[in-house]
Amino acid sequence: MAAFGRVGAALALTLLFVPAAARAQAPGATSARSRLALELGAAHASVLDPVASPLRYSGAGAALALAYRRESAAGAFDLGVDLQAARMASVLSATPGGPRETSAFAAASATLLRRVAGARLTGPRPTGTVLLLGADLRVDVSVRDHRYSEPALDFGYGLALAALGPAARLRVARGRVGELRADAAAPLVGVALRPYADLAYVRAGIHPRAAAPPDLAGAGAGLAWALPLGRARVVLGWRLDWLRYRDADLYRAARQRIGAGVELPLGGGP
Amino acid sequence: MSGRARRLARTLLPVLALAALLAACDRLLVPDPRATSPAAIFDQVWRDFDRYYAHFELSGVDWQAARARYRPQAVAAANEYVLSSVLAGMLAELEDPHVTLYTPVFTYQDTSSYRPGCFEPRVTERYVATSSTAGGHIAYGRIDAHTGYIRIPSFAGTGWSGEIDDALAALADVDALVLDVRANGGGDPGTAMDIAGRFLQKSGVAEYIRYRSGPAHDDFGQAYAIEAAPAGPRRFAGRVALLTDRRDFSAAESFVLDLRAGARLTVVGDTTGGASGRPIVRELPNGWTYRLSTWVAYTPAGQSYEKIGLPPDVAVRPLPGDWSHGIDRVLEAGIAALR
Repeated sequence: MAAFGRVGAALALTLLFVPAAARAQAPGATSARSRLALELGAAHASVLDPVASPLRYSGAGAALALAYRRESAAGAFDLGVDLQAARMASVLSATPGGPRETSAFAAASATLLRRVAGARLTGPRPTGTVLLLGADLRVDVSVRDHRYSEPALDFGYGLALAALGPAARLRVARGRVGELRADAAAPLVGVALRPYADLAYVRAGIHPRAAAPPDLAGAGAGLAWALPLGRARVVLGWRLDWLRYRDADLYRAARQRIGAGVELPLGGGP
Repeated sequence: MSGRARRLARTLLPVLALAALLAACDRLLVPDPRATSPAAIFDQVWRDFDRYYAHFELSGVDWQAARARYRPQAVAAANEYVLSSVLAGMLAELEDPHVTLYTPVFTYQDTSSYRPGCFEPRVTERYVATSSTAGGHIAYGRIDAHTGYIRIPSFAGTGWSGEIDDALAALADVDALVLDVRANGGGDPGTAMDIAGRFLQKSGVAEYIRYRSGPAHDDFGQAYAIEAAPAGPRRFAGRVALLTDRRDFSAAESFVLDLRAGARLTVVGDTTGGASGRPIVRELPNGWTYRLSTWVAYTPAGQSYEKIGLPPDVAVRPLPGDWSHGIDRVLEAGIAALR
């Protein structure tokens, strides 16, 4: 019953943000513009998953992010896909035959935000600062190949989490200099799928498990600088996602990516 | 420092500072608790077995009592050798040949279930001269004009199961085959399944598997069926005599069950060793590794064969003096079963 209570409380808190954000996307909202964003860069991941190992595995790799962004004077709506791959090692990896991991991570997110403070940022080169609040729905899938070289053995470990939580964005626009966008979100309530041990357990059936604080804690933070280049924008971005999730064991992961890309306008908006 | 160098430093320093900050961020959010005291190592092993080991109910071991007995010895261990001996002593109570502890001072593997086998290579060579496939994983030869012989000593590793096609091509004109897996300690069940597919005339359920699925020792997921099906570019449709013995474990036992699902098969020899388990390897903070069994396997009739083994259709064991007289009684029985 306590678990139901925690899930319910987290869901109620999150949904407080949603109606306001949804109104921002109503047909009345004007001056909306849509952009397609593509970002390429480097990723860094650290995972401590006792199901696989008592040691932290971390390492670098590559990242690709795709997003559809719709912004209006009243709010914003983002759909994003984030893909990362990294080769990871622990303190044991340097030993002969020591284990290594390859991590693949995919996330899909939908973020709905409403302007709550600051100026209306309109036009192709706006100036001003605006704060938006809303909700973020995110599905993360993480799969890791845990490999030993002597003898040659590999095992798969993973976690999938669909979570809803509050989100905030600060936009600081400075005309020709561009725009700084700071994002933050935190999963508050969700559903987790995690095999009891390695991924072969999928065949024995996986049971979804409701997740809420204190078993679920996490945060996502991003910083992006968008510089106008004609109708498009060049973007430099950084993002950090941290997750702490407990079922039979406590799973902890932190992922960062840093990259550069472009935002292309869609349609004939301003 | 020139103006250009100063400008470069001014640009690079914030970037380097940011990189250091981001790296520190990871360490802060995901710490690396590397406890390597004897007590911590013992607790890790005990807890992991308590959490994931699948054969507590089959072994009947009281794991809490084992902890009470062995932990004080582990805490007092003066060196790695003593600690690994204490851990090995605790793991030996499980009597599971899949349970292994690898340390720099020794490797522990349970051999209490080992029984004398039925295979002596020098004796078998008197009946059949063999050649090896290119990868060296399979030996084959002819017993007579109509009877072929294929020996698979292990299923370890992946990617070589196609070697069976070379052996079958060389024996394309035989109409019966002795398939010898005596003293095959197992390996990869996928490799065993691939090879078995060459001998199957139809698909069928080979075995059922149940994984441990929760923290209680009797938490198991639903049983799911392992299906064996005809596979591979070259099939053998003739009669097969499969030779087995007490030294067959794990994937070799799965191979027996795979063939029983749809081959024209007579199993000859002794009961297999009786060790399923699908062991996974896990590591400890001090660099040691160990294996534990994660599933329980059942025959299509629903019986676990752990510690029991799979009985043959024709039970034959060597008699005292057979090998010194050059007699391979099991091979002879296999040939007779094909006539």
